[in-house]
Amino acid sequence: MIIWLAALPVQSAPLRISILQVEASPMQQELSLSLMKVFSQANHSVQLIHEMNDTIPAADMIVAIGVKSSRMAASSKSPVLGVLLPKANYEALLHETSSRPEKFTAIYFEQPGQRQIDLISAALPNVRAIGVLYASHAAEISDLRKSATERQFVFREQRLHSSEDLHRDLQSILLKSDVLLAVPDPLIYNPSTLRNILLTTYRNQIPVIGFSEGYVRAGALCAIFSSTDQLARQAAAMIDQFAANNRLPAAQYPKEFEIAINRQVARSLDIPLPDLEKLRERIRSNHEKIRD
Amino acid sequence: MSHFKVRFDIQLIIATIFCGASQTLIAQPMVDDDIYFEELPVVLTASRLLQPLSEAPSAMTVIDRAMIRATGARSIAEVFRLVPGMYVGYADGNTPIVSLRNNSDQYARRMQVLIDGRSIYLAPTGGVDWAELPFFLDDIERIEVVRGPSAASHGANSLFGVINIITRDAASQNGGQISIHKGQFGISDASASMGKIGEDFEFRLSAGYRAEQESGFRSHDAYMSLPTAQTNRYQFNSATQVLHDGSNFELANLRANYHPSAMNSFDLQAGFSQGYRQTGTLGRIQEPFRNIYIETDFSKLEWQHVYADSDESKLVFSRTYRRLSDSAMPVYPSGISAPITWNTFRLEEARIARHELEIQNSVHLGEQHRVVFGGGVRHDYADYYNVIGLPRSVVQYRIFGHEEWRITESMLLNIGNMSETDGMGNVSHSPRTSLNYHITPEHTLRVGYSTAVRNPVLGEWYLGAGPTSSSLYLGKDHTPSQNLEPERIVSKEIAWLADMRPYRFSFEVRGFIDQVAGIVSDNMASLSPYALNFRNNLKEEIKGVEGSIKYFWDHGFITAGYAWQTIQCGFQLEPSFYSIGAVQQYFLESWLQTCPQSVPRHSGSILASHNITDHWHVSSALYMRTQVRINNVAPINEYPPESTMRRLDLRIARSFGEANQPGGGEIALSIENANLDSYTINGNVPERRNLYAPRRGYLSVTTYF
Repeated sequence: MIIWLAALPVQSAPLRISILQVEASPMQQELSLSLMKVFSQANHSVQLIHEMNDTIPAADMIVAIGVKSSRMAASSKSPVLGVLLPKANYEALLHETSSRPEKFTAIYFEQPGQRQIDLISAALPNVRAIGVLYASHAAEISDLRKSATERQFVFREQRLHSSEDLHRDLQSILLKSDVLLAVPDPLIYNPSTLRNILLTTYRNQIPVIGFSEGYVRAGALCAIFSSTDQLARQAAAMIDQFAANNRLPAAQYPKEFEIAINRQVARSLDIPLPDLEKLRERIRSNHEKIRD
Repeated sequence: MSHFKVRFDIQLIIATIFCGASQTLIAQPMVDDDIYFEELPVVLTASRLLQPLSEAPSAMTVIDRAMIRATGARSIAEVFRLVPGMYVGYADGNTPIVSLRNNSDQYARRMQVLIDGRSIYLAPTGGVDWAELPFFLDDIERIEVVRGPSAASHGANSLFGVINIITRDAASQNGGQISIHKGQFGISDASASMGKIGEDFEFRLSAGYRAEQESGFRSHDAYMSLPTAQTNRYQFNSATQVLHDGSNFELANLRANYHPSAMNSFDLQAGFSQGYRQTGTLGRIQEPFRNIYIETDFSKLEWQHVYADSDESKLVFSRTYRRLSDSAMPVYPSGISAPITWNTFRLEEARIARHELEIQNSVHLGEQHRVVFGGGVRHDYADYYNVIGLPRSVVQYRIFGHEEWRITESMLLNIGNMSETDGMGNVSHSPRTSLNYHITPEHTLRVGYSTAVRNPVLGEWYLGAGPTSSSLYLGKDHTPSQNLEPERIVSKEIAWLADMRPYRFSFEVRGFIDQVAGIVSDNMASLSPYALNFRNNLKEEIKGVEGSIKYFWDHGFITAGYAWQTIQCGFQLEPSFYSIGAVQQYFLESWLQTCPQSVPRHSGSILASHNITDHWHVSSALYMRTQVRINNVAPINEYPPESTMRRLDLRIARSFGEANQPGGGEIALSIENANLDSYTINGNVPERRNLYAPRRGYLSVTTYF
């Protein structure tokens, strides 16, 4: 069986791909559409499903969008590629569903720590202390800490003790930091705390680095994120690899990125941000410099 | 099969150990919500974002909490010494006089004074009673002072400028705090505040009292002017308490915010204060020692609506009420030269009320244009027999609009106007424009042309109808002041602002010419019990150069301000038009002599603050000013101007734990006039000649819980 497969041409055969999208937010819908487009162009047959049950035909590959979808798909027999899945959630899911990396891979939601620190040094050259507030994503923090200290930043971290302490812990870290780097930790950064966090950081004149375009529009100074087209391209490349080698590539960070800036907030905080092009260039060149 | 089971078990064991060892890490539940992808509302809308100083249409000084703390001040009025060009003086210990440029008398009424956008100067005199404001200094988030007319942005009465006191918002505190002050001259304050932040509702409440026994002002050469005492006049000395000027107020304020959705928020503010202000001057029968009881309360409700494209609208309703009770208010029914008798005094029970409704909209027209427009109506009522006779009310309407046009990324044009009625038949327009040009991102040049008006207050219309005047107008409805028009200012300025952030350094320099026409005055050039009627008699032109610098380092900052001012005075109306003979002569001389001394040639301040260690903090303020005179301090050969002032204040504090965290706290010692500078205050009668300020210290203890 295996020999027969190896004798086949390396050209990837069309796969049956199910895109599992449990939540219906605009961003996830946009991603579904981008994925469908990109997969169809590669001649795969695609179906969009919103739940997993026995009536749905099995697929060669399930692309699960978001945490809920990933959880639902992780226990299926088909290989799964999770997208828009924070690294900590991916690792927890691996652990909880007893699934294996050979069967469950992902494109992480957040940008690699290195790139986030690159953004800060490109946009805010005068900043020295980076503050991070977290509750459950301890592993991610060590990645950020390493990248930050490599760049001579002072890294201040504060773990949230309970959700009632959010204001106090936030105040405490704002006193020690020049910028607050938001990590996608839902206990801290969720729609109900959004207002208080942005108002408190603004009152302290501390800019916030967000993790999505929406956050920037709400009031974060800037964010580095991957657009749905970029994610779709990366997912397609990973699936191509899988089709060629019959092996899922390892879970990875997004490769391409976009930057969003809130000019009104920048002006109000008296932060002279360069334009998008210059910023992109600076990040790219910093990245080349440090890459091992 | 079996080796899989073992592997599974080992994995389980490792996981348990890992879990056990760092249980707090994985103990936090992994939340499944895909929350990052929801449509997020715009939180930092245009009205929430402060305009950077380099883009503001007028010169602005911002005093933040760190600066307020570093001054060691206990009363709001003292903090204004940090603003270049600001005069801070005292008629007595509990009657501060605060204004840019100059003052006719103790009722400083040529600035718009706002607390969170609500005007607090009250009819009928137009002054602000700082001692009774229902706020502690700790309730203040920031003070913005606009050092030029700003009607289009800040509303009526902003002739010389605007003071906008912004209090801490409902979401600024989560927890409690108690603070106690004790010091010399009977200083005794206590305040407790607590705040709670919830998901869609938060509030902050503050309550306490503020008291002092006297200001401590003394004089070496004041004397009693009793008619019989001309030959052996009774001279005061440095032990004599001349002024009866203590005060004691209980106060409370609340701010609450309810935001059921991202689009709507409702902000409620309320406060009250009650207590007494002492008044009276030793040796003056017409100013007996007594308490004036005051009760004041206010409430304000604001509804803010944010549209999908982040435009916003705001509807604000506010009311302010004040009751004043003076057991022995002097009146002069038979004119100024009549002897003082027992019926010179009467019980005055005055009631003042203001209601105001305003709507404001902020709209983006493309990336380059932002327009703010709106309108409002204000109803003022005063029942203050001694000053205005019958109860009076006046209704004023206004509409305003201004536009920010970002012509290029480095050039910003501001243009705006306010049109208003004064409720007495006058309609005024106050246009203004300014151009901000960022030569480089760090250096900005601003040129501005701005106008504003000041509507005469009820007292200026009706003082002659009160019992102080002849019976011609007593009890009559119509005003004895004929054809009074609003005062009008035209201000031209050019400024250079520099923000060198990498060097931690910023500064601004500004040159201005302020021309004021139609200044309202009475025949004796002051708002006093002797006045009969008021007219737009006078005019003045004030030119100046002012600036400020700020430098900060890791654990502290230093900020300095300075103003050089000069004034030219003249007459709007021919003096012979309204007064005759000796009175005219007196008036001419008086104005032409006092007015040139009414702005100090040099004034400035230096404030330095430093955290020596994590727990020790020191700060000091130096306030300097050359001689200055309030216009009603006359004749000048009898009353010298207020002397040059070079006052040093010090503060040293030791903090415990972490600020604003339970168990944290601070003990501080503040000393005002540590160098015992003997600067004098406003005094226009013999008994108040050359009163000089003492050195005053107080200790404060604060704990957080």
